[in-house]
Formats: sequence, C-alpha cells, structure tokens
Amino acid sequence: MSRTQRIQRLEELLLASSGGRTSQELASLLEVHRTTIWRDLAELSCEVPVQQDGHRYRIDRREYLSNVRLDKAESLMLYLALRRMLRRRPKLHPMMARAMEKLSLALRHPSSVRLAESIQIAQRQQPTDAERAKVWEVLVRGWMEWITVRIRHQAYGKTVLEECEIEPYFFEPALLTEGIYLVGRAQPAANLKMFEVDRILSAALTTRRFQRPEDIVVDQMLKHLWGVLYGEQGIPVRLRFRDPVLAQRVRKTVWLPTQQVHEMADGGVEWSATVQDAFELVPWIRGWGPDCEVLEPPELSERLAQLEREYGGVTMTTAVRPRPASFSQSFYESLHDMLDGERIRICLQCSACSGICPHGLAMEYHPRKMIALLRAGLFDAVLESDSIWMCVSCYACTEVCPAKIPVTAGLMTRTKEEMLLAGNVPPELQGALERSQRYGNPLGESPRRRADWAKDLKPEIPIMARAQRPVEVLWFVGDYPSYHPRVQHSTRSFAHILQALGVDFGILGPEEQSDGDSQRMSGERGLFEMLASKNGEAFAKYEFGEIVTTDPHAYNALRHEYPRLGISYPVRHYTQFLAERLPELKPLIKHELKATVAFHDPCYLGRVNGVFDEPRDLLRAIPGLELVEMSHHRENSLCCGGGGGGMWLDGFQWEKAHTRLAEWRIGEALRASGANGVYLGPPIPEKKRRSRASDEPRQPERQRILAVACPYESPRFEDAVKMVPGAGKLIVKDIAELLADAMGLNRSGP
Amino acid sequence: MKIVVPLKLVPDLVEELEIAASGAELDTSFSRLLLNEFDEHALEQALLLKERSGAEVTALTAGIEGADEVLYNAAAKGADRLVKLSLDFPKSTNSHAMARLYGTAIRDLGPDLVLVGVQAHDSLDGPIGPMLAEVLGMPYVGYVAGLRLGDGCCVAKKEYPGGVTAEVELDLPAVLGIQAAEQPPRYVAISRVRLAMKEASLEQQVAPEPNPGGAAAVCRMYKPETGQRASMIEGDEGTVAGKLLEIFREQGLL
Repeated sequence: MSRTQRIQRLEELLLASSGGRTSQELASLLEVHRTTIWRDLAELSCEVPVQQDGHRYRIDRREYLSNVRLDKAESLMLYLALRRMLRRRPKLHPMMARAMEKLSLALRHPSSVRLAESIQIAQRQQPTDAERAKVWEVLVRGWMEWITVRIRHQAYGKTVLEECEIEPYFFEPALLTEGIYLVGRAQPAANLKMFEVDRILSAALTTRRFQRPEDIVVDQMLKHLWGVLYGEQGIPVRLRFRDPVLAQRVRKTVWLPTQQVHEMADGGVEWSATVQDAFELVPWIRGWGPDCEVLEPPELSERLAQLEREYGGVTMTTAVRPRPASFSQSFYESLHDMLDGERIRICLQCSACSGICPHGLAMEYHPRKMIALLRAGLFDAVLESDSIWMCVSCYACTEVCPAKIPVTAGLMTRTKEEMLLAGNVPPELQGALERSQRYGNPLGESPRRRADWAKDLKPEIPIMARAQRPVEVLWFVGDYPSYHPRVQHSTRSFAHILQALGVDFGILGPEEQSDGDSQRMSGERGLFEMLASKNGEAFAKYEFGEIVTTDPHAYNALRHEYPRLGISYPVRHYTQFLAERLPELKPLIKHELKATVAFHDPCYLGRVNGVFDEPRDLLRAIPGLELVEMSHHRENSLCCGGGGGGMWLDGFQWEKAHTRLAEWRIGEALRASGANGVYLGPPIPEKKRRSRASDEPRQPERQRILAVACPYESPRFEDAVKMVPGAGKLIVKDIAELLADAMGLNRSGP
Repeated sequence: MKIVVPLKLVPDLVEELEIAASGAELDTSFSRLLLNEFDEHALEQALLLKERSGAEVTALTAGIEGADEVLYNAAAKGADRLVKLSLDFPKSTNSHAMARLYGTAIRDLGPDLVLVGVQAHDSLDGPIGPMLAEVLGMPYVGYVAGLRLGDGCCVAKKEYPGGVTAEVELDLPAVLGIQAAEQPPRYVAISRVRLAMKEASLEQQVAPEPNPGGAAAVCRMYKPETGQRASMIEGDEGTVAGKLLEIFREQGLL
C-alpha cells in the first residue's frame, strides 16, 4: 500500500466511525506503526478537518465534504466556471480564491499552476475581506446543516437595511449580473425569496433547525421565483431589438428562464419575460445602449429616460458624473445626431479602435482616449493638440469597433471639422483645401486643363459639352487621374480599355470638379458641398445611363454622400464595371504576365464599400498571373496613408510618426510576393543596402507587382518603393494598366 | 484704432498668360483673378493686431469680378467692414490709377493705419503702397514683417536685403507695405464664408473714373525669349545627363 493510498484509507476509516478512533486502533487496522499514523494524520489534516478528542481522532463532518473525484475534463469545467466568476469580481473573494487555487493545482497544467501561483500572490497582497468571508461561512453552514440564519440585508435600490430570518435552500448565480443569490424561505413571510449574497451585510446562525423541504428542484423553484413577486403576479417586461446582428445574440442566450423570443419582420426580435423586479434589469438594458428599446413596463422606460437626463446622455460611465463642460457636451450631443451616432454612448473603452489605427501609436489622442475625454468633459485638450490630423480616415477603427460606433465618419471627421472651423489646420492641408476651392482640384492645376490627359489619344475621348449626345457611361475621371502625371497613365489605360470594349462613354472635362470626398473627410464639409453642387449642376446638363469612376473616393461620395444632397445617379467603380464585362474582356487579353501580384484593397473600395472580389476577378483573368495576399487584406487592408486628407499631410505625418504607411505596405507586398530579408523601419545606410541587395538570391525573372485600384496609390507606393531597401524591383501598377498591358493596348510605360 | 486693408486682385498664374493683340498688355479675357498674396498677408497682419489690441478692420477692394468673394472671405476671417468700390473697371488698371482710387476712398474712412501688400506681380509701374501714402499724405514704410502699436505711433519691423532687420517707428496715421504677416494667413472654412455672405454687408462706394496718368508706359510685353548664348541640350534623360557631365568636366566643376 502506497502512502497516498494509506492516507486515503485513513480518511475512509475516520469517516466510517462516528465516535472516532485512537491512533493505536488505526495503526493495527492499517498494519503500520503508530508514529506512521501520526505522520499520516498530520498530512491528512492539511486537507481534511481532523479533530482530536483526547486520544480519539475524528473528522468534523460539519466542515467536511466528501471527496469528489473529477477527471481532467470535469475539473476543467469547474475551473472555467470559477475562473469566470473570479475574473468578474473587483475584489478577491477568499473562498473562490481558495477553491480556484486547489482546482488549478489539481489540473496540473503549466497554465493552471501559474494561475494558482498568481492567486497565492494576490491573496498575500490583497487583504482578504474578513467580514465577507464570515458571512459566506455562516450562510454555507446554515445551508449545509439546515439551520436558519438571521441576516441584515440591503435590497436593491434601498437604503434601509432589512433584518430577517431565512431558511437557506440553495445558491444560484445571477443570470444578468455577476451576483450570487441565496434562495430561501424568509421568516415570517414564509415565501421563497432571493437575496444577493453581496447585499447581505451580516449573518448569524440561529439555534433553530428547519424542516427540509420535500425536494428541491432548483429549476422549478427558480422559475416560480422569477415569475412571482411575493405570491402576486410577476412584472411582464418586453424589449425590442431591431439590429439583426444583435438579434442573433439575443436568440442564442438565455438570460432568464421565463424569457421568450419572438421574431419580427425586420430581422429583429422582441424579447419578453416575467420578473420579480423590473428595475433589476436596468443595468443590463443600459448595457445594450440604443439597440434595446423598452416596450413594457412604462415605469422601466421612464426610469431609463430619467437616468439618461441625469447623466447627460452618458450611459456607461458609472464612476464620476461628467462635469459640465459646454463644448465637450454640445459636441458629444452633436455626435448623436448622425446615423448610428448614439452608439458612441455604448463605447466600452476596449481600445480596439486605437489598437488597429495605423497611426494610433503616433496619436496623442487616439479614438478611445478621445471618447474618454468627451465623456469626462475634457475634450478641449483634443482640440488644442494637432493629433487628429494623423487620422487617414481609413475606417479600420470603425470596422473593428464591437459597438459599431461610427468612429471615422462621426468622431474623427467631426473633430476635424471643429479644428478647421477654429482655423487650426496644418499649412499643407490648408493649401490643398484652398486650391480645391479655387480651382476645383487639390493639386492647384488649371481647371481648363482638366481633360489635357486625353489630348493626344486616338480615337478622341468624347467631352460631354462638345459631344452633345446621351451616353451610356459618364466617366467621372477625378483629380489625380486627370492631372497627376503618374496616374494619367492609368487613366489612359482605362480609356483604351473602354474603347476596346466599345463602350459608349463621355467625360465632363473642364466642367468636372473634385469629388470632394477627401476634403469632406478632412473636415471641410462646406467645401465638399460646394464641389458636389457644382458637379451636380454638370451632371444635370447631360443624359447618361450611369457614372463609372476609377477613384474609390469619388465612388464613395457619389454612392453615399451626393444622394444626401439630392444628386443621385447610379455609380460603379471601374473594377465592378469591368468585372461584369469579363466575358467580353477575356477574349481581348492577348499577353500573359509572368508575375506574382499582390492586390492592395483601397479603403474606400473594400472596407467602406465592400468591393473585394471584382478587382481580384479582373487580375485572375490575366493568364500567367499569380495572385497572392498580403498579411493585411480585404476588410483588414492597410491604408496607403492618402485618405482623410493624408494625401495632403505627408510632411506633417512624417514629422509625427517618422514612418509612412505606404512604406509599411510595400514591405508587406514584398513579403507576400516572396522577397526575403525585407527590412522595415528607418532607411538603412546606402552601404548596407547595397550589400543586402547583392545578397538576395538570383531568381528567374518573375515580376513582383503591387496592383492597385485607387489613384492615390500608385504615386504613394512608387515613392515608398524608392525608400524601402530591397524594394527596387517591385512594380506598382493599377489594375487598369495591367489589363491594358495584357490586352496590348499600352504603347509606353508610365 | 481703425485699420484699412486695400485688397487687389491679380492675374492667376495657374492659367497660361496671353499677350493681347496690342503687344503691350495682357489679354485679360481668359485670365482668372485672385487676391494678391501680399495683400493676404496685410489682411492677416491687420487681423492679428485686432486680436491683440482691438481694432476695426476694413477690407476694401475694387468691384471687379471676384471682388465679392474676396471681401466675404475677409469678413469670414474677421474683417469688420467691407467696402466695394463700384465702377465699370477694366480688368487691369495700373498702380497709379489704383492708388488714386483707393486713396480717395480710404481718406473718407479716416484710418489710423493702412496695411497694403508690399508688391503685386502685375505692378508694372511700381507698388501701390508708396503712391497711396502720397495720395493720403501719410508716412510709408515697406517690406514690413511684423509690427506693434504704441501710443499714437507704431513700430514696424522692416526687412532689408542681406538679412538685416530694422525697427522703424512711425507716427500714425501711416501706410505700411506688408512683406509677411507674423504668421501665415489663416484658413477659413467654406461654411464660415457662406455665413459671412448671409450676415456681412457690403458697403458700395461709387468711385470716380480711374486716372492712370503719370505712369511709365509699357512699350512691349513679351514672353521670355531664347537668348543667343543659351544652348539647349536635346535628347532623352540619359543623353542629357551625359552631356551635362561632359560640360561640368570641361568647366572643371567635377
């Protein structure tokens, strides 16, 4: 018999005898010497309450629960339940901590052992709440031994303490909150009642034992309890969830046993239940923010409205009431007015926004902090700093926000608007805005020369004012495609493709103005409206079937923003337009392209407008081309740095961040297309760079290409290629250029 | 303290300049006008003075195409009064005529200080500032980059060539030619300009017929011509670079 087995047998022997046993008896039963028994008893008493009465040893049954043997998986389940409870508690609960420690050790996994150690440390560091522990001990004893307990209890929302005697039946964790309830029969009311254990301020055992109830079926008793208020009718609560995504969560979770979920026609659900106290639901309902509407009872919705008024629209801060700060407050309220703007109130400060923000590290006030300052009434600090101009309006924050707060369109853009109104704008951006206002393009080029890129093209590009006929497609060319020498090459490529496909199209030429979207996202809404209305006037003059543009920013504005100004036309990005015509396009592709191509999802095409597949379909149509994905792609694409005014803040952003997003992206493109040893970070000295380049293994000529579909990108990425060591052979091309090359339409390179 | 800033519109160099058939002036039929950059600085300096020590700033301009926009823009930035001289102006008027026109109008406004752009790229007969001072009978200091106001006087920071700066004290009223404001001209959001259009009022003043007399006459206006001594290197980048290197070596520069 091993020692472990012997100690286990010892425990069994002690449990089996009611009067206890002497060490001599135990020694002869176990056939060992008495000293061994003493040693074993000492060991056993570490885990089991062994009492000594004179020479007799016995186990104190009041303190002892029989050994439960759990396998690893069962232990893990217990461990998880306990861990969840522990984590949600601000203070270390002494019993939970002890139980957790034992379970962690029992699991004997490095992770759980580490946890046990940390709990031990925490127990040493944090003073254990002795009062709380005492209350628990008394309640547990009463529950175990069927003894009534006298408690002092503070009911939810009440200030007066109630004193009563209860028969403790069972413990139950709350479904909506982190509380643990004791369910018992309260004397003298003789009704079942629930007491939140944390609200029981003191507890003392009485001398009275109580009759065990016939049988305790917890679920049934609970159902009875949730639905009945002191023997009367329960309070029906009806809540409405409109958001279909949230509705999914509502369908999947059981908060109350009496709950029922009804499907609604709009994809939302109606949730109903009967409860003992509707006001207990308040924190839970407020947690949903504006997504949860209270239909019933009216007192509940009134209480919520009252809280709203008291806290000035701040529903999630529970610590300190915001101090009145006129600007913060009015600005915060103004954010609520926009589409989904109210969601800002349910920000849980998780900082996903600031974490994913490509410039988050270089921002003194990143989005999470901005919201915190707004709530604290300290937003002036944000307006006094210039960190908002690091925002490239790439929508990465909006994409990851679990509360679906319109961070980019709301918070960031509105902040830029305020900065601009105050005249607090970096000179680079100011210049671009002034030029947009004066010339209708941020480059400050002559509006009369807007169609000069098409001058030498044969056949001629029809300009609407001259053509004077309806066309199928009005091509909105955009600023950079019209004027930027590098982007003009992509523009001409697209023109060749349209002509090869025999598309009936026209352009506005000098009548076209900047689409204004990036100016809008950099805070100059007035300028955007001015430009949009001028474009609207030009559109109204001509007849056309739809608008097609190569610029995702123009596409975004025409699709979402112009209609709000009453300028509404069907619009498509050129990748969508061409992808639809792939059957016609494919036979025209003559050349194969031996290249590994990574496609950069433009923010305003992909993340903002959900166009991911069309550009890839077009690339795949080119034979010989191998399409690879960069580490950031599709919804998680990384901004080129040009959005939201970034196109006109290069110097400013470089000074702040000392890195360029485009360079980061080039690194990803190189890695995705199979280049080794890519160095990311500040440029390394020329000497090193050379040796590194020569170290690269010579590979058979296969081009590495970064394909783009936004006019901001080719110049930005080509500049970045010059800066990133080892990137020299990476080619940046617009999809239109790659297609035109493959179709044999481009006579010269960019 | 009353500050008047006369604003002048000049041809926008973004558009290509054409010479009129007469051969002695610009063809203004296609040119767009924009506010003279130095006048923008003069306005900014006036607004800075206003913010610092309080002043009434009046922006004044000749009523040609684009004048309203320029004035409302000034109002949006903070100018208190807007004065437009209405007259059937020719698109280009020389500095002598402008100085007389502005001078007459400014005299009626009774300013303590007149801030004007130190120069404009179309001032073929000299900058307006000194002539304006002459018309008004006030002292003039040009190439001013910053100033402070004293009791009945002002101290202007005047820039000289070669990095020399002087502080010049003048009795008020005076005319100052502004080279640069103490900080770059501010940005004004379009929404502010729109608001100014609704709220600010333009004071129209009927101006007399402009008198361009006294200026040097322009005999011929022409675009830069290729000189005899210049030799143009033709060819693609490689060839041009090669020839340049050759020339540098010949000259002993490399």
